[in-house]
Amino acid sequence: VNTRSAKSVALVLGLFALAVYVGYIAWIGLIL
Amino acid sequence: MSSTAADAHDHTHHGHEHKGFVAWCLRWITTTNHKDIGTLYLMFSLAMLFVGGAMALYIRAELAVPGIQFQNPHFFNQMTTVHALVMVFGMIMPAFAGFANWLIPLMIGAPDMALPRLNNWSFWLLPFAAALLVMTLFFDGGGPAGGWTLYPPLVLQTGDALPFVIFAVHLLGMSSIMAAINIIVTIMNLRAPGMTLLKMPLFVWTWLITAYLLLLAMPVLAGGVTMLLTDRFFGTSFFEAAGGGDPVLFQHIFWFFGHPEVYIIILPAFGIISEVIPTFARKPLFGYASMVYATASIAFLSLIVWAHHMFTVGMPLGGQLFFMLTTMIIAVPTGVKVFNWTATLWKGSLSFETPMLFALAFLFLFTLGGFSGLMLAIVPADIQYHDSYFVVAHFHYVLVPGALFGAFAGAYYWLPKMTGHMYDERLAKWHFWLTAISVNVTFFPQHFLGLAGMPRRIPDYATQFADFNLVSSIGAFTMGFSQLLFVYVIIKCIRGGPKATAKVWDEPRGLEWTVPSPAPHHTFETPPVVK
Repeated sequence: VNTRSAKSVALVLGLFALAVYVGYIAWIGLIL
Repeated sequence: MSSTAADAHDHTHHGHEHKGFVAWCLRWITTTNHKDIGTLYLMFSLAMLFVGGAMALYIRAELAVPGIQFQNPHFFNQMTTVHALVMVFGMIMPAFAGFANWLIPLMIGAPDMALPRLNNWSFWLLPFAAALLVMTLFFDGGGPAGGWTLYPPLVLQTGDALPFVIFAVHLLGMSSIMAAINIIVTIMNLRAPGMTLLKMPLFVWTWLITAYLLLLAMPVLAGGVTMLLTDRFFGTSFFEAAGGGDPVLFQHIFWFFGHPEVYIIILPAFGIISEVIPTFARKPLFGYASMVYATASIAFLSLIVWAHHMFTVGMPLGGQLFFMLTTMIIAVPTGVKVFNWTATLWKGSLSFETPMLFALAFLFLFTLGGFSGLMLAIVPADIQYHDSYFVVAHFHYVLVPGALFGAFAGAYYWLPKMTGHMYDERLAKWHFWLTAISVNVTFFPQHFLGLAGMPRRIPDYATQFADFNLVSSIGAFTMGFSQLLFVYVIIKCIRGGPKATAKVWDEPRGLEWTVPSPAPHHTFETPPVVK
């Protein structure tokens, strides 16, 4: 089993979740 | 993987060598084994069923007869709010996360989850978050009382509890996001040789799709509640009209999370039903590929229907039409699923053990909840039904005989695999019939109450609603106490009973039935080859 690949996929997914969180607040802040 | 799996191994043996309560606690706190963590999730969920259930019984006791029976209306509102939050985030989601932990590695032939330490953290955030949430009931000003939807400006009137509620929601969301990441990575990276995506059991498929939904929806909820926090404490006005914001904006954000959340809860139940029905019909699942595509379609549609929860805010006609039609289209892939389950039963060699009974009740009663959902999707009708007991009846039909019955079916189906013993079939059937009858006694009259005009989230009502409310309360207490039987059956099964074979049932399909019962602590350290 390739641990490094599993961790990279997890990191990408985690960063995606963080980007949605920050991006959503920033976007709404901008449109208001 | 090699280092993490070795750590999990060490922890377990460490626990076995030392006797005593501290060692026992440490074994469960530090475990990285997917079966241990699955068990922790399931036990936690069962405990929360009784915490949330006690709140439900308080609500039904208050509503049994007209007039104010206990305390004050403000406490009643706290009960409806915290009951919902506990049941959604503390009970039903962890129940399916427990099955995911136990079964996904077994079903795809993996030795464990891909990230065992993250898995441990995902679980252990939960008890603290749930404790924090329940503790807010004792704060100055009480717990949150504006409903689980946390709409501003009402929720901003919460006392000292507000930041703690928001922190608890953040922790619950973090736990879900980490579990979702772990599930996606496990399914994408750890499948045994030959286990192609379209050979995976339906339960694994539904969880893969659910995990992506979690990843899309939970950060949006986190963003929404963070904005509530800054509105209350840091002078922003995201949701305050006086400062240029808009309270309706929060409703959009909440339901952009909230509607996928409904499917996050129900899709794993679909997966369990898709495992149970073929086993007890002794036939392969009808239309496997169409089940996968239907699940993916439901997940996609769940992201574009959110404003059907807010038809009464006054949105443009185009918006109403869009959200009404997309909502109705969900009936198509859902219909495909119900058709496939029914077609699996067709000419099958049926037997009616408890998991099958719960699956069949699910089939009838979830469909009933789905139909009332279609009624609510019709804009002019929804303007009448909105915020009435009809809505309460609808979502309890999809969540209780829907999602919860899915979890019960799964519990009885895999309990012999988990414990190594057969459960007491006679008592389990009693549990089924008591629950299936009382769930209808509780929630069916609520349709009539709603259609007759009884609003939701009120502690008192006009006397014309008295009869159906009393019937509903009698049903609720019967259902609540029947769950003690479930606990007894589980304890009895853990402590002993007829020895379960590896296959347990006549014709089960899937790799989990190739390992002994109880499933050994470590399985598939050498991956099986799937043909």
